[in-house]
Amino acid sequence: MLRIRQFYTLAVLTAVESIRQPICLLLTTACVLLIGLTPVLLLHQFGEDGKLARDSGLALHFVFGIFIACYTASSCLAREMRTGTASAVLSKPVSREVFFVAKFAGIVVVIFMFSSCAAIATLLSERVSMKFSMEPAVVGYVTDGLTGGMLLLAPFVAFLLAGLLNYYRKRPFESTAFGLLLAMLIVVLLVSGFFERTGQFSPYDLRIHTGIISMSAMVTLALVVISSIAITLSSRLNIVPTMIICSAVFLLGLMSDYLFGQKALDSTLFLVIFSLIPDWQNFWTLDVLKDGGAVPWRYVMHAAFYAVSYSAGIMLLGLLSFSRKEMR
Amino acid sequence: MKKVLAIAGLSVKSAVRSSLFLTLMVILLIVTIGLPLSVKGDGTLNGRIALILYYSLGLTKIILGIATVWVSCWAIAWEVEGKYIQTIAVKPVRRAYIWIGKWLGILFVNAVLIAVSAGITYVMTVGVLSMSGADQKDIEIVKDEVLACRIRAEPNREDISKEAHDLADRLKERGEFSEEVPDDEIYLNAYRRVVASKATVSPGQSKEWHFDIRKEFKGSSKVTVRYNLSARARQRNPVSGKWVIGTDVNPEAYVSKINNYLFGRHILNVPVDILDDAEQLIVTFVNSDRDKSNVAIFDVKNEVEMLVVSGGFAGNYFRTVLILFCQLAMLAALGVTAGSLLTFPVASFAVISLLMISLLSHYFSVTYGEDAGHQHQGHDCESAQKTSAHRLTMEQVVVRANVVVAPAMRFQPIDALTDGLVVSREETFEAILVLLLLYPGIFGLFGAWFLSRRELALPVS
Amino acid sequence: MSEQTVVEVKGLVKVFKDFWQRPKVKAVDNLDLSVQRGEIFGLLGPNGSGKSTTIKILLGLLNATEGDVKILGHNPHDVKVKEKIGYLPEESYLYGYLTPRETLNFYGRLFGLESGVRKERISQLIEMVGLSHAADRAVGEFSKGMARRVGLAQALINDPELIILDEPTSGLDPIGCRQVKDLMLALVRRGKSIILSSHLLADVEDVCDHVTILYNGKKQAYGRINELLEDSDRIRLTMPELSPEKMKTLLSEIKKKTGSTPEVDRPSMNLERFFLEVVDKANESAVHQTGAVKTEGVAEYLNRQ
Repeated sequence: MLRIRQFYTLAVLTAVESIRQPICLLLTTACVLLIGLTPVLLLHQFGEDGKLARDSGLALHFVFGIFIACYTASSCLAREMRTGTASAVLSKPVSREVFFVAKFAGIVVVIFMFSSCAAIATLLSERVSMKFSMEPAVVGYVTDGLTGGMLLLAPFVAFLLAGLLNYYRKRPFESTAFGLLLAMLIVVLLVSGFFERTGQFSPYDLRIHTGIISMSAMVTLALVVISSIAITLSSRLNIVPTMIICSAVFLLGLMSDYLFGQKALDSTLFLVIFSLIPDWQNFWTLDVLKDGGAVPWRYVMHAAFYAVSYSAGIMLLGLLSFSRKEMR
Repeated sequence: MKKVLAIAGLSVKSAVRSSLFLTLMVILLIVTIGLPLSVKGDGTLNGRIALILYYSLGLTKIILGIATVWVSCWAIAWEVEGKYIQTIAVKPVRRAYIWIGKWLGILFVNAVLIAVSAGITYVMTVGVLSMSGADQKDIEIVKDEVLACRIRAEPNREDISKEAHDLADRLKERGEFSEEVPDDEIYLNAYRRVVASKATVSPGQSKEWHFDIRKEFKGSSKVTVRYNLSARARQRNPVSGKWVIGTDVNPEAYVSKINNYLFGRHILNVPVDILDDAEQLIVTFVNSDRDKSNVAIFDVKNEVEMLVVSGGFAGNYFRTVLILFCQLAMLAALGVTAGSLLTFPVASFAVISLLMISLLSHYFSVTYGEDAGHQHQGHDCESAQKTSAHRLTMEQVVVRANVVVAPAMRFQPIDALTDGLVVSREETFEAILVLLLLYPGIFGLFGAWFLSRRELALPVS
Repeated sequence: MSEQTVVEVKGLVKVFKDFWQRPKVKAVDNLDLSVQRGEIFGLLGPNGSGKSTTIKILLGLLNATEGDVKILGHNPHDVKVKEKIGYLPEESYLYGYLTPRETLNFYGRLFGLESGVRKERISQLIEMVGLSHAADRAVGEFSKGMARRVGLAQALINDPELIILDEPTSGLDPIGCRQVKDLMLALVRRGKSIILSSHLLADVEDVCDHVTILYNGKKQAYGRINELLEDSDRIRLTMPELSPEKMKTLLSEIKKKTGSTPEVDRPSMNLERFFLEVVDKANESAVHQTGAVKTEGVAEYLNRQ
C-alpha cells in the first residue's frame, strides 16, 4: 500500500513539475494553434473533405509530442540526478523501481494531457475545414468559421484567465494555463455541438469525425514508446545526448520498414535491428480515415500491446541501468 | 583571442568528455557504414551509388543539424542554469567572447564529426563501387554521371511573354474564363499552355536549342547533352528521330539517330573539339516518326541541358562537405544566440520553429516565384491590382520573409553532387561568406548584446 | 572615492520583480558600504539577508535597481577592472569534467596569463590548497570541500587586488577553515583587500577588521569588530593555578576593593584548536590520505611583494 502511495505521489509530482516547465505550455499551445490554422493556411483541394486538416493535425500531434516526450523524460530524471533531488528522494524509504516507474508514469500523464489537447484540436480542425454541405440552407463548399474562431480563441482565453489568476491569486501561470487550455478545448468541442457547420443553431450533435479519436490514440501510444526510450537513456546520459539519440531513433523508426523490414526476413542481424527500432508505421494508418473510416479498436489494442510490450522491455533495461547508477 | 580559444577549448573538452561526442560518433558510424550496406536503389549501379551518397550525406546533415541545434542551444543556457557562467563572467572576458568561444567550440566538434562521416562515406561509396562486381562499362557510367563534376548549362530561353499575352487575349475573347477570374490567372494559364506547346515536337517537325559556349567549357575532357522526355509521355508510343549537334561554325558535327525512345533522361556525347572555335552549341531534334500520334514531349522545366566535365569528383565532394559544414556553423550561431537569451528547451523550440518557418517561406516563395515570375513578365500594373487581396498579402509576406531567408537557404550542394554536377568554387566561397561569416556575424551581435544585458545571477525558480 | 577605498556603495537598492514587473522581493534596501585597501571586510547576515545579492551587484552579475556602485574606482560592468578581482561564489560552480589543473589553467587563460606564469601559479596553488595528490582527477568526483578548495584556488589565480569570498569555508573541514582564515590574513598583510560574506560568526570574528550586519537587505550594524564586541564594563584576569586558600584570600580581597564577587572558571581550549592538534598528531604518523591534505603557508607568488 505504501508503495502505491509513494508511486502516486511521485508520479503526480513529476507531472506537475513537467507541466510547470514553460516549454510544455509553449509546445502544446503552438501545436493547438497550428492545428487550428491548418484549414486556413493550407490550400483546400476539392473533394479532400478535411483530409489535409486531419493529416496535418495528426502529424503535428506526433512531432510536437516527440519533443515534449523527450524533453520531459530526459529533464525530469537526468536533471534530478544531477541536482541531487533524486538522492534526497531515494534516501527516504523509496525503492529505485518505484521511483523510476513513477517518473515514467508522470511523463505518460503529461503526454496524455498534451495528446488530449492535440486530439481535440484535430477533431475541431477537421470539422472546420472546407467540406461540401448538403444542408437545405447552404449547398456547396462551407468552412465552419464559428468553430474555427472558437478553436483559435481557446488558447487566448486560457492564457488570459491564467494571467488573471497569476496576477491576482499568484497561481503558477504555466500549469494553470495548460489546464485551462485543455478545459477550454473541451468546452469548445461541447459547445460546437449546438451548431451546424454553417453556424446555425441546431439540435445537439457533435458532428465530428470520430475515427480521429482512435488514430490520435495510436499517436499517443507512439509517444509513450519514445518516452520510455528517453527515460531509459536519461538514467545514464545527459539531456543533450538523450535528445540526439531520440531524434536518431525517430528518424530510423520512420525508415525502419524500408531499410530493415525486407532484409529482416533473410538476415538475423537485420531482424534484430528491425525489432529493436520502433516501427512508427504501426502507429500511422491515416488512409483508413478516408470517407469517415476509423482505425478498428481491435487494431488499436494490437498497437497498444506492441507499445506496452516495447515500452516494458525498454523500461526493464532502464530499471537495470538505474538500479546500478551511483547517485551523487 | 587567447580568451576565446580558452572558452572554445572548454566546450570541446565538455563535448569529448561527456557522452555527447561518442554518441554522435556512434550514430554517424551506424549511418555511414550501415546505410551503404542496406540501400538498394533503383536496381542500377548508378542509382545505388547516387542513393548511397545522397542518404549518407543527407542523414549526416540532418543528424548533425539536429545535434547542432540541441548542443548550441544548450551551450550557454546550461552555463547560466548551472551558474557556471558566474565564474566566467567575473573574469576579464567580454561577454561577446563567451559567445564566440562557445560557437567556435561547436564548430570544431562539427568539423571533426563531419570530416569523419564524410571520409567514411567517400570510402564506402568507392568501396561499394569497386566491390559491386559490375561491368567496367557500368562503372564508367557511374564515374561519368555520379562520381563526376560537371557544369550544367541551360539553353538560351526565348521570350514567350508576348505569345502568352496574345493567347491570353484570345482566351478571354473566346470566353473560356468567366469574368470573375483575374487577368493574372488567365495570363498564367496562357503562359503554361505556350510553355507546354513549345516542349512538344510533332512528327515531321524539329526544335533547336542554343547554348552559349563559355570560356571554361573549352578544353573540357568530356561534354554531353542530356535530354529529358516527359514522364507524362509514359502512355504514349516510343519516339524515333534524330539529334543533330553542331556549332555556329560547324552546324552538323554530330548526328545521332534514336529509335523507339521512351520517357526519361538520355545522354548524347558531344565531340569536345568542336567547341574550340565556336561561340554557340546548337542542338536540334528532328521527329521523324511516321506515326503522326508519336509526338515527342520534353520535360517542360528541363528539356535539354548541356553537361561539361570540369574538375574531379574529390574536389567537388570536398566543396560539398565544406558547404555542409558552413550550414551547420550558421545553425550553431543561431542556437548559441537563442541560448544566450532563453532557457534550453525554449531556445531549441524557438530555433526549430524559426527553421521551419524559414523552410516553408523559402519553399512557398520558390513555388510562388515560379508562378509570379511568369505572371508578371511584361505585365501591366492595372491587371496586377486585380489580383485578389488574399493572394497578394500572402505572397508579400512570404516573399519578404524569403528576402532574409533565401541567401542562407539556397545552398543545396548534396543535390548537385549526387547528380554529378559541379559545386563551384564561387558557390563555396559564397557559402563561406554568407553561412560562416555574415549570418553568424549578425547572430553573434545579437547574442553578445543579449548576453551583455542579461543578469546572469538571477534567482531561478 | 579615495585611493584607499576599494569598494564604495551608496544607496544600493535591488528589487527582484515578477513577470508583471511588480516588485517581488527587495533583496537589498538602501545599503551604504565602504571597503578600505588592506582590510578584511565582513558581510554578515542570516540566509536571504542580501549578502550574495550585494556581492553579485559588485561583480556586475546583477544590475542595481538604484544606487551607485564603484569597485576599484570603476563601474562593476567594466571588463578591465575584473583583472584585479578574485571571486569565490557561494557554491564552487566548477566544471565536473575538468581536473583541478585544467580548471586553473582555463581560468588562468581567461586572465590572459602567459603559459609559464600559469604553470608556476597552478602548481603553487594546488600545493597550497592541499590537492597535489588529486590534481589530475576530475573535479566532478570530488567531495564538496575538495571542490571548494579548487574554487578558492581559481579565485586567486590572477593574484587579485580585491578578493570576494562568498561563504568560503562552507563545506570545508576545520583544517580547511583554518587554512582559509590564515590565507586571508596572509593576503591582507600583503596589502590585498578581502570582502568576506558569511553567516559563520566565528570565522568572521577570527579575521575581519570591519563588519556590516545585514538583515532583510538593510544594514543593521557596522563597525570595527573588536569595538562592536568589546564589553567595556567588564575585565578578565588570567593566572596560573592557585591553591584553595590563596584563591579564597584573593576573592575576598577583590570583593573588599570592588564590592562585587568575581566569577571564576577555567579557560578551555576551543574545539578548533583541539581538532587541529589531533590532526597534527595523525599527520605525523603519515597515514595514506585520499582527501584534502593539511598544508602550511601560502602560494609563493601570493607572498611576493
